[in-house]
Amino acid sequence: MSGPTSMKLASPTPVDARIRKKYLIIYFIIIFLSFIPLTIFENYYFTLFWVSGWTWLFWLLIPFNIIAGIYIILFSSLIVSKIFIMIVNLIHKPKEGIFQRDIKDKDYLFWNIRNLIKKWPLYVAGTNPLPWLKNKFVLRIFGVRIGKNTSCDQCWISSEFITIGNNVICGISSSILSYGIEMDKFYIKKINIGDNVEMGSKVVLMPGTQVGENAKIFAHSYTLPGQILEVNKNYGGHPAKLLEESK
Amino acid sequence: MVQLKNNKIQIISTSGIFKDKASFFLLIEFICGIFIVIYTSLWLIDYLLQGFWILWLLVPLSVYGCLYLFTFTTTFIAFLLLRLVNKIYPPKEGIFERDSKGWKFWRYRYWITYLPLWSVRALPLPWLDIAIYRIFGVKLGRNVCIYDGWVDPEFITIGDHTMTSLNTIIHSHLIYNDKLIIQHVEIGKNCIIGPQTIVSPGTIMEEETILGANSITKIGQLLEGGKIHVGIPAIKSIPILSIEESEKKLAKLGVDKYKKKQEGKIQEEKKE
Repeated sequence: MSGPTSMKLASPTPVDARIRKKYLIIYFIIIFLSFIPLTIFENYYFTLFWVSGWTWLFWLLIPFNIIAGIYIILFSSLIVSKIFIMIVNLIHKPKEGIFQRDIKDKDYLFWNIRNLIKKWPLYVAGTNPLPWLKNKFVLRIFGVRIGKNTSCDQCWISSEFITIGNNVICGISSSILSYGIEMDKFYIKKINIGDNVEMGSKVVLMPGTQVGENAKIFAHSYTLPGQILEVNKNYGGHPAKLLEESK
Repeated sequence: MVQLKNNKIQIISTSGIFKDKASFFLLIEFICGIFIVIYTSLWLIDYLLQGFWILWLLVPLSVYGCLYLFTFTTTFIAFLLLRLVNKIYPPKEGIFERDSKGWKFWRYRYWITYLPLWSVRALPLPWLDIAIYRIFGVKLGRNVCIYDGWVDPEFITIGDHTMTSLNTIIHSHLIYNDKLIIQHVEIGKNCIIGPQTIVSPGTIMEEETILGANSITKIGQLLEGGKIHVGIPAIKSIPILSIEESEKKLAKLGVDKYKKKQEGKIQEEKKE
């Protein structure tokens, strides 16, 4: 039951085509820098086992070498992009609000640049065949607060302005988006999800949604921007409405 | 059969995956798969190191073959592990509590089948996943297309010539509160399952049924054959019409576009 072939499970990082053209060089620099630790590691591996004559150990340890390689790329890309993000955040701090969808608007511009920087590590984490240190780990590093025992590796979560509590189940192929575009307006709003929340598959949470503790959202429903879902209640529908208490 | 007293449960369809010690099954398959790939291609590497430069032309072919070899060795090991786990606790339908034996072994089965399905869908030939589903015991007919959806690897039968679309979910399991529900899904011949739909556990689709886009089925719902079913949950059912018939119907209802089309057709017929 892995994901469909045409859908990668990396978190959504849309980038405006006009901005992408200008700043694409950053993307390539990040990829280039994140491969350097891997090449150093492989060089040491080769010299240690092959050149010194331990060829049988060289072949025996290849599987572990591949697993280590996957995680070295993950960690190095994370560190590089985190440094880039910190530099960009020093120039312009990310904040919530309603902005113009225009390159001249500084918030929109820097939101796009942040997405461009985050794209590579999120892609590496999303396409990792092993289930450890996937999307959840990378999102946590980028500042999304995710609690313990939360399962959210099979859905799309924006990489900023989101807090998720403990023991939350995010259903398969559901999406939690903290940004939205409406005509020429662009808005970012924070999403809060409490403890023990259960979300069905294909739920869409729009920016500004507040979900209370123990609330349940039924499959295939979406919320309005800024909607508040109360504690211990069931919600469902298009848009999500309060359902009667189950007897 | 699973019987549910609560009607409200029938709408939710949560499916979470819990990471735990059971996912170490995956590591065994991964390591074994890479070992076998390396030891079968060692002869080629040996010749290359000796200086047979013409053999470099074989390298792309070897890489391509190794990808398939990896998926099929992982599948084989997963199949053996699945047999072993199923002998200890045979999989069965029903409602299971959290931390009970049924829940635990369902997670084992999930993690055993995870890697082969992941790797077959990452291949350049994703249609091959039908073969791996069949190995894991899903009964699939001829001409079935399921590579663009989330399909459970157990308790599912799909008939001949059935099509599924992008991002459909066909689940034989479901998590509600602290309970796990497992029930058999039956999909008949010549069915079409639309995009963005969810097929809940226990659904029975008869022959030549169409499940419309963006719709959900309830737990244990029976979809009548020869009809289109739509809605959340799928309550409405519409008879299947040909394009000409549906255009006539729309023209009667007064949709301008189709009205003009119909008038044009009538005039052409008169000219002839």
